[in-house]
Amino acid sequence: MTLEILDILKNFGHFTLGPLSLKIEKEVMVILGPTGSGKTTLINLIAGILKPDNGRIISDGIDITDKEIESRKVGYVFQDPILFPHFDVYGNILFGLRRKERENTERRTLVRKIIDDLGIGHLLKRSVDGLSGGEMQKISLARMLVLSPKIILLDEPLSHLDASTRDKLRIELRSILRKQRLPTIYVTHFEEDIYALSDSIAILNNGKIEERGKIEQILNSNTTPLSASHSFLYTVTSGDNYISGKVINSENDLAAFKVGSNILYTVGKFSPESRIGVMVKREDIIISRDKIKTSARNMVYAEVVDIIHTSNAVDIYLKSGELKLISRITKNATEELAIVIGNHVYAIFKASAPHLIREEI
Amino acid sequence: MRTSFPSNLFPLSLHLSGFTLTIFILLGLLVLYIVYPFIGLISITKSINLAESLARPEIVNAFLLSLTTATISTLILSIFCIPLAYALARFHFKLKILVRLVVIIPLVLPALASGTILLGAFGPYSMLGRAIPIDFTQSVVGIIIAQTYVASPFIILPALAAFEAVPDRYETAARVLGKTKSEVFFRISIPLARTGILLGMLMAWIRSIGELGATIMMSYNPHTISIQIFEDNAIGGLGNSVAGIVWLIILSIIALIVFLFIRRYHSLRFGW
Repeated sequence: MTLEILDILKNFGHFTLGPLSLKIEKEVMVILGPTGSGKTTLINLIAGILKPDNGRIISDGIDITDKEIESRKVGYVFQDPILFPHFDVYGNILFGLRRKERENTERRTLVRKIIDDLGIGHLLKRSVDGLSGGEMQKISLARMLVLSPKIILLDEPLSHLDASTRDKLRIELRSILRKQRLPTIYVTHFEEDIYALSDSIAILNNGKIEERGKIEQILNSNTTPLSASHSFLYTVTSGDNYISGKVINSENDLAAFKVGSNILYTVGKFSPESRIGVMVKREDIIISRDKIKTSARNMVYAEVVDIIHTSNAVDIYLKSGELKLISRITKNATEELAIVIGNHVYAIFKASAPHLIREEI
Repeated sequence: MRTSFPSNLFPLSLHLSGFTLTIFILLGLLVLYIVYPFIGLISITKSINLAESLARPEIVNAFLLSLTTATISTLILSIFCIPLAYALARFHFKLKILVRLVVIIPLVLPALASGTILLGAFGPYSMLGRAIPIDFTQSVVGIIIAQTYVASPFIILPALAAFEAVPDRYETAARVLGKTKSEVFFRISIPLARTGILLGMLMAWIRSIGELGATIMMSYNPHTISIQIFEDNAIGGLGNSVAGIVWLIILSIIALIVFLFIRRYHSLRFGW
């Protein structure tokens, strides 16, 4: 299954989206962009809520540009779950299914499976009032998934949730989207969403796609931010260190994973050979001129490739083979250690500093 | 720190504030004003045989005719006015403001004036009256024409407000979930606007039962309950028209109960 957007154009007078073209295979494409860049407009055009002035939308080889919203087979999860208050939870989940589909054995099995996957079986008889934000968004997801859509559109589905619910649901969402293997567009402004969910990202600015590719490709294409879209991506990702590697050993709640020729450690249990992605805050990385004996498990010998002064700190950009790190230290420390570009230093952080973002077994 | 809240924002106490006192005085005066005419009614009731009066065939027939025609009128109005209110709330079209103006005309126009123009339009010597061999006047049809004309704003305006209060994102979400425009109308818009719609229907029904001005012009016969009261009063004064009034008071109590029921169960769920 593929979603193709060809030269799509929508003019609102004060704002124009496109012309832009995109091809999305069975992947999760995260769309990033500042407010008003046209992200929601783009997915509303795909869903048929808006009609384009020009261009075509092709889903699975079929031109759906002129099709009515209801016949596009698009699964759309909005920012707000929009559950229907006059139906109970189960009524909401079954809302889109026709009577015949509700009676179909295969469909019933699918519905059951989705309910089980999302862990909402105990809520079915409940009224939608009084559900938590996370539960509501799960029901909204289930309601969309039971229809077996051909395209999935998610417009900041986690943005109304509190941080801990967001973290939990993100992990579930990732496994669900992996199982679906459908062309998926995910609009977000959360850094963790980008790392956890994206197979690729597209940066939308002023109604145009400025950059498209895998997150690592885009982040690594320049050491320091250059273009407008880069600087936006850096704002979104806050320049923290996203590190992905292969687990080589995991015991006593400590796992070793390999990034290029470096071996790093993180707290947690993982299957050997699995790929993990973690995030390390730049403030959590300290710099030492010399190799020291310390309780911190991670010590990377790296070259200083850039030094950027911020208003009250200094960001040290480091490179060690494939591994790139940013450390934020004080001006004082920079002067005391006399760090200049080209120096070799030790970047040190604890095994508890990495925050797990994704795991692929 | 423990904070205690008053259980009632306006506790009845001896220390009434000036504002509260004014409100209660106004409230008392209004209730008295509404109740006062009934005092005369009660004293008259004592001098007649009420049960016998209530059972008078012309009274019972007039009352039943009003109930039947008001119900038919309300159903006819619902078929036209609910979709119209939806269109006014949701669609953008030219002359929409003009349509909004037209639908409130029967509300502004005195009922007698409405009846006069209806008679001109449907009377036996009108273009329609001559073209179609139906008795539009002096018939049940005439009563229904008068009631539907006068009561239409009573259903359109609350239904319009109710549809406008339904966020259109519910309808968009339902469309994305594979429902056609008409399915969305019946399964989302109407159920979510049901309180306003039901109250509008109830008000249109009550207005139809109480209708006199337009009906008197369109169809003096057969008598509706309002016309019966009007005629009984003309012949024999208040004492003669008490029975019809009592029937309407009973009906208004039932309507009040229905109204409270709709308000109480406005979060009623329809699991279809």
